Amino acid sequence: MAISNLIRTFGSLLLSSSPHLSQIPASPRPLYLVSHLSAYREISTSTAVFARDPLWKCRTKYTIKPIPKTKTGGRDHTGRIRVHGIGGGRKQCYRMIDFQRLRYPDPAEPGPFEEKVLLVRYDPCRSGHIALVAGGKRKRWIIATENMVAGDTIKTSGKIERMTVSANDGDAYPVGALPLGTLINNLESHPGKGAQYIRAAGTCGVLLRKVNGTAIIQLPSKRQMQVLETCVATVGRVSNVEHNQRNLGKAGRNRWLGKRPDSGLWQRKGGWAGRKIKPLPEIKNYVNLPVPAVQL
Amino acid sequence: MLAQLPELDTVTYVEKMYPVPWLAKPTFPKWERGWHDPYHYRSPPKEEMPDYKTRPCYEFHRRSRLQEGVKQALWLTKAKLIKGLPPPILNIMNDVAHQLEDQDERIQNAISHACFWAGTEEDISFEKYSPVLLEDLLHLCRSMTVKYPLLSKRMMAQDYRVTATWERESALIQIHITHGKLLNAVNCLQPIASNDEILATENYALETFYPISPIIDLREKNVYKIKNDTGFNKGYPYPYPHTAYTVETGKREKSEHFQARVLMFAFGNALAKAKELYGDEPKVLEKPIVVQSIGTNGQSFQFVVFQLNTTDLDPSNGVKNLAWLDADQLLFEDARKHPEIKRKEVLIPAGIHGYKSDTFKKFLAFYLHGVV
Amino acid sequence: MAVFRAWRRLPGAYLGQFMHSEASAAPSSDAAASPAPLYPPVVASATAKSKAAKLRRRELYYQRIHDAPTVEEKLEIYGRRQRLKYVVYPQTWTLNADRWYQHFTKTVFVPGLPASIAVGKEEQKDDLDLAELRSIVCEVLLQEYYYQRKQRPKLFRASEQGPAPFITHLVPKLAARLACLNPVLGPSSVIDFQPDVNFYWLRGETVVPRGHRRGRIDPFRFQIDDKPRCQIRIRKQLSEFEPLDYLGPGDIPVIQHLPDRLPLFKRQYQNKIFIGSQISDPCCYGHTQFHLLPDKVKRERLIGLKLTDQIEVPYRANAVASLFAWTGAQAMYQGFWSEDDVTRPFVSQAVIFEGRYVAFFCYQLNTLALTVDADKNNPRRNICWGTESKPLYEAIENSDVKGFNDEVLAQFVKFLLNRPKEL
Repeated sequence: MAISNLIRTFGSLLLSSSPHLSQIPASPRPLYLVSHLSAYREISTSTAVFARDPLWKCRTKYTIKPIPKTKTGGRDHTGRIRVHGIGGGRKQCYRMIDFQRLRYPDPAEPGPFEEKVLLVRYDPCRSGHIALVAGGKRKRWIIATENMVAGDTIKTSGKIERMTVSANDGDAYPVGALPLGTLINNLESHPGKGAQYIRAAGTCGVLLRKVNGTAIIQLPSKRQMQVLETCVATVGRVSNVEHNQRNLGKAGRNRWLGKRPDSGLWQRKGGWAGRKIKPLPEIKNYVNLPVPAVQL
Repeated sequence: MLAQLPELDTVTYVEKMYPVPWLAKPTFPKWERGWHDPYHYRSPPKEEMPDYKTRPCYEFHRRSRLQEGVKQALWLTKAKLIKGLPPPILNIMNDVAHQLEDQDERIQNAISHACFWAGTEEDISFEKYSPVLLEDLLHLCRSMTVKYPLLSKRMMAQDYRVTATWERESALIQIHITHGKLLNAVNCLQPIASNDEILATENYALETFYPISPIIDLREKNVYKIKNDTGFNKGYPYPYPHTAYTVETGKREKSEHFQARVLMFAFGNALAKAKELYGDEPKVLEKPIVVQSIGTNGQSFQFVVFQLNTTDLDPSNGVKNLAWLDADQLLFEDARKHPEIKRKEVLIPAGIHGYKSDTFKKFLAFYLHGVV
Repeated sequence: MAVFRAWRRLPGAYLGQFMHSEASAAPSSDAAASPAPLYPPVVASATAKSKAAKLRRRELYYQRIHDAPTVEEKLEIYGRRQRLKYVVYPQTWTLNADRWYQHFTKTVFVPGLPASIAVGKEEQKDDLDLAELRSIVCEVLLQEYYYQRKQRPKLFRASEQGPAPFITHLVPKLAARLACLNPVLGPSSVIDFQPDVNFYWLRGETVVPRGHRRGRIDPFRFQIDDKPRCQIRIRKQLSEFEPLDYLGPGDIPVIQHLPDRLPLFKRQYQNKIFIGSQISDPCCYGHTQFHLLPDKVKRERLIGLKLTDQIEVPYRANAVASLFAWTGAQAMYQGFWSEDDVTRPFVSQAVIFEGRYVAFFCYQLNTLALTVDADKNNPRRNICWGTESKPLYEAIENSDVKGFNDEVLAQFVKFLLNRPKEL
């Protein structure tokens, strides 16, 4: 069982790996309740999904339908509060976002492809907006960039040319194909892993320099990271740029977002509180270049 | 390779026959019931099913919603769109003899019955009043049998099932229609467009919409049977499909998607009949098959007349089929029981507003087509 | 019990005029040339806690219904008060349900059909017509049972695949075909598919056994909620089979037990009276209803349970209950109710299918006055005529209908051709 998991993880690291379409989940789920027994029977997409299913996260097949999700209230699997301040709020449905932008619509023909943006909408699960794009035979949700509107055509490519590409807002290219100074978002740390960085509303990273097969990008926190130049990132800022300027207005709005009030107990703050002015940490290297061994 | 190392063989509590925390759970062999229980049957994975094929088939069913709407349906059916209704139907429509007495009054009674009187609740939802309205209109059409006795040579079938399979630019597409109403006739409808017009369609280029593939939103299946089935056995006394009636149910959807579905249903019936008459070989038909299709949501009607000229649908060039589409014909604009009053002023009074008699004339013309 | 504290001081008190007088005292001894009475009529109080006051309140209630300007308001006042009532199911599997339903609806059951509608053996219809109609019926049968390829039926829903679409297609087709002979079936009629038919009425009395109202006398309340497969509604009333005061042979069965023993269960919800469409519909009279009995009472099952004498009971029970509800609702739509009895009979027909078998029923509603008060001097009875169930065909084999029964078809056609006499 552990071995199969390991092989799966290695397989997902490959750039050309197709999305795993297996119906069987990675690990057998423990059955806590009788309702889990029915969920274990692999409900097909045409039957009504048991809304607020406790195992809503276990779906492997990709779909654009919103999946009803259950709230945890900050509780962990033992039932005790692990994280305070979470609870209540509007019910939210999770839309499966495809963070691996370079997923070829037809695995047999890897190559640059175009997709059309069908609609851009609000997503309750994140600060930025999401866009429904259709290309080839499939539709998927991606994080929308600043100037994306319905009807646009966006391009995705995995090739690095000799000349840098003049990229438009919303296109996705490997970091090595972009000119220096472009604003990027949805950056991967390893090629094919899927975007994990710069996804929040209005954020963007800057491509600083390119060094023999790797590229150095400045993240919104001003930290720099070094990744292989084949990692794909989308160009532009993430949508919903005025997100940090919004005024909540009242305590109720925080409650709608599912945040419970802080405990009102005033404690004198210790050394952990307050603004710290520290030097920037070192540049984070995700490349694992072999360091030449010091020959003694 | 790693599993063969003896250190990694897990020790399980299978000999103890009860669980203990320091030993792993053994994997037991799957229990077989021994007999087939239909309520506790797990279907095998799709690769092991007998009809599994590696080549995928794209299925259009009655809940499919084509992204590009009518354009996509035209590409799939290799058809050319002509807006408006064909001349024979317009002739029937404009002929005064083909009308009921007090037609407008009777239609308005039918609308009132469906929208206001059919139930006791305040607002009858469109799911309830659209089938009632369709049945009432069909009853009125059937009363023309007094004038034209040949109209009794028709038979209505409900919950019919039609399957048709065809190739379209090396993609296998199947349409499967369930739960509809089909009017069958003894004689087939005469082709509407002449041979010259059919040959002229060869130069027409089908619209594509890059980057979206035209087979988007079709259900991809690997387990299927390639079959063409009209839904009726041989020797059925009413062999030719005349009109397919579709009622919009479930969630409301855009009329673009509904029009595409109505068009696809007309095509499906025509293709299934063509394959039954002329065989599975793709070819140009000497006698094109005409099938009509009407879709409604209780208020607006979509009229489609589809002429199938060729079953050679694989290449995108060559003779094309023809589709006449009259979309969004409102029977009435608004029908409400209680007037809309804002600030003590009546904005919209109660009753039926914006009644258009043309829509029922078209409905009746479709019904009479083939007999008159 | 009103206590007139000041009765000693009232002017006529020592004459005992105000003690328990309820009915408006007609001016005594004034026969001819009576001047207008000086005092208003002496009636019981409406708010006192006395039996007289209760009767007065009931009279005021009846007066309100009489005075209501529109039928909708009448029905609304009549059915406003919700109390626990017995829900009567027309399609029932209970034993001897038809006798119970006859008792609830004051209906006498006459076997056989009335002379005006029955098909005699000597009658010769046009053979061509019958042949053409037979071919229509056979084609519909074959389409549903042989030619159309259908899914496997769901569990206990086998009748949805065969007999139900047969009725839904046969009725409009035959109606359209016969519209030239019977103009009532033309565009002025309406065919409803699976409409709601509801009726609410009161009949009989009982003592409340338990609860805070224990010991008091309460009427029995009944509600029928029916959903026929198909019904035809027309603009004019069908002509009567027998005059209004016809009593008919036979007796109405009287059942001494409580309806709970049938079993019937009580529920409290909206008292709905509905013929299939609202009062504003011009087609407010009924012509024919078509029912399909459920699988639970099918012949083979009853024979297997050794209940061969109960085979005809579901047909009769269904006919009596459904047709009573339909005709009663039609009568109430015209403004009649239990205190304001019908002045003309309301007539409807029903055809009940079950697999291969068909039974025909006619119903004439002569009286709606079924409450204890109204029924005291009411000799009229409702009459239900009906036939035994006969098979329409013997078997269907390979695109051939074997053993088609022409009598049944002739009767069916005669039912559809029935029309009001004025036309």
